[in-house]
Amino acid sequence: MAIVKFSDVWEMYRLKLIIEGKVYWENFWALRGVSFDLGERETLGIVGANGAGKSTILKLIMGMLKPDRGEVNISGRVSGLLELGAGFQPELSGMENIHLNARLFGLGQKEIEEKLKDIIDFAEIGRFINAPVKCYSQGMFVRLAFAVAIHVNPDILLIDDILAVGDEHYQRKCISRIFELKEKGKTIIFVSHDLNMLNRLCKRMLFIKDGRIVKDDAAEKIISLYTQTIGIKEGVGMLEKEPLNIVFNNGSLLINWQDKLLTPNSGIYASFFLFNKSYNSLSAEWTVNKENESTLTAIGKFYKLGISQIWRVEIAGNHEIKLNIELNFTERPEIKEGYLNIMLTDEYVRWFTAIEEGEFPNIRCQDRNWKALLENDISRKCIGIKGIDAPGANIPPLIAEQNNYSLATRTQIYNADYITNCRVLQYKIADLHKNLPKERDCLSFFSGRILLNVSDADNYLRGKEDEFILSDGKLRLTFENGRAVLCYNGINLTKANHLATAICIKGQWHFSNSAHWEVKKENKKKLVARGNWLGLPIEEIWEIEITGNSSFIWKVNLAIKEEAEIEEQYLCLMCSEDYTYWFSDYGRGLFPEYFLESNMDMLQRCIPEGIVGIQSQSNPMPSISVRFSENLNNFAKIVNSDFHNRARILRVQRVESEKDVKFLPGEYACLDAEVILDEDTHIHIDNSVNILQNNKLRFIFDKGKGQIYWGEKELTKRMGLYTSLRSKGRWHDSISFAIWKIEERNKNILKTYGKWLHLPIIQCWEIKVIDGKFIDFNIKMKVEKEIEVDRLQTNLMLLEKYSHWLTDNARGPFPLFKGNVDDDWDCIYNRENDCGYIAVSDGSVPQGNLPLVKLISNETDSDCILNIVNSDIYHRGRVLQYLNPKYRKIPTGEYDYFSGKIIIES
Amino acid sequence: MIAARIKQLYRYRHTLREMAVSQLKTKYASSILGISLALINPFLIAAAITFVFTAIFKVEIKRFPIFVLSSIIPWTFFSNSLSETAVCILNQQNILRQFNLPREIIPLSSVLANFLNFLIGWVIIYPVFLFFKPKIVFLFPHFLVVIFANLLLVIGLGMIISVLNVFFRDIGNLLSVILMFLFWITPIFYNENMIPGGYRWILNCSPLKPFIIYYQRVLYEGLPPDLLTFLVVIFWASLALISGFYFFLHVESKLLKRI
Repeated sequence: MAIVKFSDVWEMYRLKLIIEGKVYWENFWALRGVSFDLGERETLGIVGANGAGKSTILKLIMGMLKPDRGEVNISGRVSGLLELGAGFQPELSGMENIHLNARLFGLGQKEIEEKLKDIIDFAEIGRFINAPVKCYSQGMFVRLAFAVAIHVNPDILLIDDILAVGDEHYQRKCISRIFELKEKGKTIIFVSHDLNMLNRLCKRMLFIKDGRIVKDDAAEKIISLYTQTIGIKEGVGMLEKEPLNIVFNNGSLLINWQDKLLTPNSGIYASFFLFNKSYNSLSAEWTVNKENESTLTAIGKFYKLGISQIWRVEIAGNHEIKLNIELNFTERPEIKEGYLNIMLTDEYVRWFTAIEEGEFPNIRCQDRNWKALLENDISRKCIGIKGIDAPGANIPPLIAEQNNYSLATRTQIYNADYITNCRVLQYKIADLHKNLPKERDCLSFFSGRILLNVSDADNYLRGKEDEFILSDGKLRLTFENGRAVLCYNGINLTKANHLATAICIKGQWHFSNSAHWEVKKENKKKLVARGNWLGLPIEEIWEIEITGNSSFIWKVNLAIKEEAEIEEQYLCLMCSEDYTYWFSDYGRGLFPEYFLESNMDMLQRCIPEGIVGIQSQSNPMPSISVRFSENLNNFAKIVNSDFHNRARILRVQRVESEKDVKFLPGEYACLDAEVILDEDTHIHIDNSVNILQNNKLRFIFDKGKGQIYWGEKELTKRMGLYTSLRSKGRWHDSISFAIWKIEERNKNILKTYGKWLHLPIIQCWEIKVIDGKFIDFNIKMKVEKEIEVDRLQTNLMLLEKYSHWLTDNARGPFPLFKGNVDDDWDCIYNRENDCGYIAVSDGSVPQGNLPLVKLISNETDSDCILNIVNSDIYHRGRVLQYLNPKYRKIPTGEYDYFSGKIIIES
Repeated sequence: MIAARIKQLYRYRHTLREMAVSQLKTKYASSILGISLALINPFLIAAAITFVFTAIFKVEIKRFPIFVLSSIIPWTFFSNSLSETAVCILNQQNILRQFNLPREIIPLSSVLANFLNFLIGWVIIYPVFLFFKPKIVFLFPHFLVVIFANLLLVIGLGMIISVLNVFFRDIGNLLSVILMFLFWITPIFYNENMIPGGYRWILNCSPLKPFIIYYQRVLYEGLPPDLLTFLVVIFWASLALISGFYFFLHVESKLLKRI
């Protein structure tokens, strides 16, 4: 049942024309044979040039005009928002005017009283509601007028472009109200020039020209027809090659595929920041020049800024659009960042790159801001977008590709807010001002292309990257911009950052995925990649070569251009969490089941040589072993990543032994690793545990760490018994920074010596277990070259369950653990070394489950003190410590380090 | 058709009242004297006329001020209403463009505002007449009749003028002259008898003449009006109203295109 029905309506105005003083009357037909039907709950948009007859149609529906010919049938209450503020008496107050205006709309006394509060709240005028309307600002006036108008409850609502006035807040409120009415099922007729709004609000639109309906069709089709014919004539250009149709309209590029608008809203547009203000291509003044059937050039001038943007758009084939944007300027502008935004219809639901993919979530009413979907804002060459994979869905997959060139670009994909309602693909071009070429006055802003409807788009992207794929047999390595994906037998063994490097310069970490890479593939098995970071005087050179059908070598070199302070460097393999077991010549174990929330879990700090590797329980995953070079001062670490990445990390690291070392320009080999995959999953066995036992007391020495067991119970925690020293601001402990070898071992005595990695010292430990109660140990230090130290410590870390500490003349409880990992530990008590003891107990009297543990030094040394320390939250241990805090330079020689006893009393 | 319109008007009666009241409020918005102007105005005019026509031109009518007052107040209503209705549609075009009201509300509200002004004036002045001639209280029903008829006359004429002025702006310009002319030929400050017989027909050109005579008889003389005057008043009032309405409805559609 039609609510509004126009049948062949003709409407005429008599126009008075005054030409040279003479008066002529002319009949002007504003509407010629207009017919359409509108049913309940429909929203109709009407567009057309100025003077086409839109307002006449609205007046006819309102009942203000009678058609000269034809018939207009309306059923239902009509209310129009044609002129805001009609009937407002300036001398009367806002409140009085609300009453008056509501009456004019036809609301009854009761309705007005009910709605009065809502109207006042909506208008947000505050106490000025009681002031005469003549003193209102334009904004307040318009808000009040709209507030009254929107609270009338008509069946048919007519809106004649009244949203063109008002600030953004007001516009948003009005728009959401109109949407609410639409949800309630009112019929709305909307006349506007704002295509974006029309697209959101209306499913059906009329295009009126010279009093006739040119087209009565779905919103998208009308919009694309409108943008092609109207719009500022000069800044519009169109290129067409079935089924692709591009319209450049004053700074935005709109792409149509078979009459379907793929890029709604502002289409493809560019923006940049200058002096902290944002400018976009839509606000420049454009002239378009169509060079031939498939190319057009548009020049947009930002007059106030002295910058102009030149766009070259070319259709190549019927699936490809090439886009090239350049900036010309008269004086060098301080542009920090530039963006190319590609807005895509929300019918696109999936995005993918060569190594990742994901889905766009639905956009909901609550979404007020744009939401970024990609984790790392890094540079990607190609990004693909797809629609729903269903027959009948005719949205072509789209691939955006950027040509390689020197500016650092980050790519990001967004889900826009509810009102904008589209997907956004963004290229962020950073640090433009650093890259302005010194002599020339123009700058290449963006250069790339868009491919549509590529068949089998996923494989296209992967294939595109063939330049960056090495393979042999089942092994395949894919390099993408600072990350390399390791794939064996079709399964990705690595995830998140895959194979990547990181370098710490002057305290700042830089990751390989934020550099810009140039890759050269020498043959099918070898590639060389050079990565440059903006603003850093270094170039990282990767050489990856496949050496067998399941192994490859990865070398990382540095080419340094200017003097640089490089502190640390590492390469890492972030592997799938399916790997459950790690092994090396210096330790082995299972990966913990749970990942820490925000930190990485260091499982084995230092593996100075040999092989380090990971294995998986599940069959198809091969074990990964990394053999790394000792020569280059490399060592390895095994890390469990944080909860976010959920990966197992193998690192080959290089740390400069001294701080503030400057590297002179030149090329240096830094990291060298050979990665071997092995399908044979046998577990490496370990045979290097050293145990001393006497009755209930058991002492286990494990690579610089001593553990004490009483019966089955371990009394030490984590780091156990270890030594550490501080030299030149760096700590070197016996567990992570030394290589240990056993010299002599029998039932009661263990002699072992450890060579430190970064300091020229060797410590010899002699440990005896006596009588099931004493552990006697003697540590000597041999210094090979003079060193500077300021702390020499011997530590015994015990369980948290030891809640009290005592000495021969004092006692007390341990407080709660404070501080984060690596903060200074909390020293509770210290005393001179006078052969007294320091001890911990579990606080119960008589002695509870845990025996008392005492630490005594055999000799007095006036320089040294005994400390009782509470560790940090991470370690959660109680520490008995023997410390020499004096700063001194120790020349070459052999020295006594510590000689003492640990007494277990039960 | 007219019946339908009248029904519609009835539905919009509250709107009509609100518009009239707000016009009054606007008129007296920044004035100090406010609504009392409704009285002061006729008093001042009466005083001026009395002075001129007793001190300078000796008109021989007893209790001249009362005589003049009884005529001046209806005249003020008449001339103010017509002047305002002449411009009311032009001034409130935006209401016509935005709202789908019965268009006659515009001139009607204008007249109504003036009518309220008129009534307020009477509330104060009628006791004055009572004071001078108490027996006019018996003529109160007649008084009401003439007031009502006066209203109908003004409504009718107002509707015609308001529409005509839209098409022919001369009406508005000429109106002040016409009113002045009418002022002289209506026996407001003189008696009919004072005019020599050959010129008496001129007085009959003024549509307001029978009304003024009616007022004078009811307020000043204290006599009921004679039958002829009574019938003429009723006739003019009905004719004005009906023709005004018809004319308005007939021209309405053309009006909308002109705005």
